[in-house]
Amino acid sequence: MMEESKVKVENKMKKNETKKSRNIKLSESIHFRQTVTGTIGTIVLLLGSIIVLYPLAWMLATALKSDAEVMINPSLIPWKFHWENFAKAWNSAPFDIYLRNTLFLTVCNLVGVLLSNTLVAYGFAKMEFKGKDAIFICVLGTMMIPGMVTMIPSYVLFSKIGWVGTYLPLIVPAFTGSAYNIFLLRQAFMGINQAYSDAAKIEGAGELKILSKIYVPLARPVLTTIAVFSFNGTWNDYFGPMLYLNDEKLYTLQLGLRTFRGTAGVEWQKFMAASLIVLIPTVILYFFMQKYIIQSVAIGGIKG
Amino acid sequence: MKEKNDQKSSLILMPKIITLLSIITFAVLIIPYFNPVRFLPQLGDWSYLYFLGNSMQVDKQFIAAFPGIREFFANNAIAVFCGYFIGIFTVAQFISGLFISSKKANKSARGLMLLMIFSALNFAANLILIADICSANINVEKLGYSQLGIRYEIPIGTVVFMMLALTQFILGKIYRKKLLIEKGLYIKMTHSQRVENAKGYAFIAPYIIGFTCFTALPLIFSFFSSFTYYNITAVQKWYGIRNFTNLFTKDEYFWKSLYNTGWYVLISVPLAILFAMALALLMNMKSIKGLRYFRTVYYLPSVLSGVAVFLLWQWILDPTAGLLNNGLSMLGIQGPAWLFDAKWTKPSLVLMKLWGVGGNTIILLSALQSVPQELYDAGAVDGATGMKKFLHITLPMISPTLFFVIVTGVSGAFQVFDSAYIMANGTGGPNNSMLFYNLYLFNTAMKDQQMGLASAMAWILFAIIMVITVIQMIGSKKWVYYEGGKDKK
Repeated sequence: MMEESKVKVENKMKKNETKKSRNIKLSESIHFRQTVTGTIGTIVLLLGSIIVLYPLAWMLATALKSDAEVMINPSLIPWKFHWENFAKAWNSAPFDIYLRNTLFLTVCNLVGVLLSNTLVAYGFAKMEFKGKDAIFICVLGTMMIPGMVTMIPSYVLFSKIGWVGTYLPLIVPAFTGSAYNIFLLRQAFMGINQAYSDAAKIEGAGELKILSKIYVPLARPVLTTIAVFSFNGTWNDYFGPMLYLNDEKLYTLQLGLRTFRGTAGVEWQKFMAASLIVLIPTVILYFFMQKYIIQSVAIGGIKG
Repeated sequence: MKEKNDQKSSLILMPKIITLLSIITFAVLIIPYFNPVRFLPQLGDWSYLYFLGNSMQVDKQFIAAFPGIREFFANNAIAVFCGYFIGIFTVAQFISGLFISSKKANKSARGLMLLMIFSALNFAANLILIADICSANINVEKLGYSQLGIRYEIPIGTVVFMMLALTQFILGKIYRKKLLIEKGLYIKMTHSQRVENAKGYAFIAPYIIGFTCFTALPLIFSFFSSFTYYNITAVQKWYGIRNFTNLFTKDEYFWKSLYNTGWYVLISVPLAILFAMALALLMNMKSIKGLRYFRTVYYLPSVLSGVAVFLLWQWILDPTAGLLNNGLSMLGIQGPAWLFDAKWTKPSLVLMKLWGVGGNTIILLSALQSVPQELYDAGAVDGATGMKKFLHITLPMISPTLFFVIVTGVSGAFQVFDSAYIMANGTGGPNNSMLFYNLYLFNTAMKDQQMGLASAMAWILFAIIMVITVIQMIGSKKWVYYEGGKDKK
């Protein structure tokens, strides 16, 4: 009886040992498999990233080629680097004026977006008033409305009050806040510890002071993201200016680029040079701010 | 003791009075309608034109001289629209009024709220009608018709409706307050609360103003316009549902644009999500090197937008010297003419969209990263391997995010506009193969100046997107898993 049980225990131990060694082997093979799949994955992603970047590289290459070369040399490296293409493209349309106009619009929008969204989001995050939740649901609901539904009546409104042909339709709406930004900022403000503002209140600080001295500095990442998106949105906006501007003196870069394309035939090197100049500010801004941007995109997706 | 009795009796009496008022309002609406002597000028335009028709003090000579004048007023869109709504609101007031005397407490409370809302709306609609009549009078004066004895009088019915609606609203408000006091739910605001309230509204004032001017009023106006013939310069003419019926029955471009848009949605959304998912899964592998680099690069196209990008793609898709056909010819494939071939225009746009797939990749990746490792470990103990882990752990855990990406993707793809507009120079491209719904809508509004028709199209699009979203939400119950069963807002 005793012996039997001893054998059993021994057997069990043996079994355990083999299991252990198998486990080690298994984990080794898993590790091996992981490195293999990881390498394959890295290579696939690398190839994909080349596919993503190639058009941009090709854009630059095209911009540097001569008129004769563009149609016949598909390679990334031009026979001769024609840096003067950029100056030529820039000077063949009044891009100076377009740039000035775009900068003006961008700055106005930036100020409007930051100012209005901060105030409104603070109201929703920290103030108590009647009907707050119902109004906030309204705010979120507006994100569902397709742009075209309000586009027509807005156009009618702006044309009736004589704003068509001016910058006002492109600036004033920015000063009223937008649903997505309010949502993002409200989220950020709500995450800020109430104790700070309570302490400030005891010291006798007003709401605006609390907002500007405590909340705005603490929510800087989100504010930065909103600013970047606002900059990109205005800088790249084609639809708004196309709808509301009819005087060429008021044109933005996007409109200018489009008319340039319409008038200058098939000189692709020029289009690509001009396009690159227009794209560069967004690219630079992206590389500096990508941490904030990517973070907020991810948050927006998960919480939205 | 006596006071309390008074309170009680007013609580019993007041709902009866309010209900009675509802019945009277309804009667004012309905009785003239069945009066065969003073029948409506136009049977089709139900409601309230009766009052308008009778209020026109137009002498016969004048009608003979300007035969269109009666139609002008009969077709005046604002009047007709208000008429319809006054009808609808009155019926709603009637129905909700019936509930107020109901014995069930919550039913009567709900009825009261509805009644107050509808009586306020009815009041507003009548007010707009009066304003419209006044402005018509001003117009008549301007044109010099007033010397001929034409003048629109404010119909008595309108005034009656306004008085009734106002009385109901005020009574409802008093009754509600009394009910709340009776139940001990009435809270009087203190001074500091009132200050806080005012401050709160001051902070959100920019949004309230913007919402009113650039969202709410445009929405109402757009809805209204969709039932009218309107080309921005002339008077809006009541058109009934003809905009909609014409679109559905006579307009081949409408169907073409719907087909194009549907095609684009069905092809581009699944492809985009599939690619984004694949990339996100690859990036989520533990032994990947250079994750930051990949994230940065793949997201880059999403920040690039505007005309420059469309120009770039026009150049990439150039049939002879473009990057794509160059590459294809190196593989020995004769590439198609892309943007110049009706068969290939939409695939071209899909390709372009896939270039910007990084946005969704980032969202999905961060969802993947937030799946707790313990779940995979537990799954491994139970013997789950790659595919099973993905189907039973990963997919359920990221399903809310996936759902978000799908919903926004579908809604965005339905509204495809910029790319088609710029790539095809504002036309529909070869054989109208890029005539997407929004493009057609835009051209209808801006090129043809058919604002009414375009508004109708916009609302059809809105309805389509809403219906699809609701279907997705219902369907999502089957596959979207919310941790802890919490509702997603």
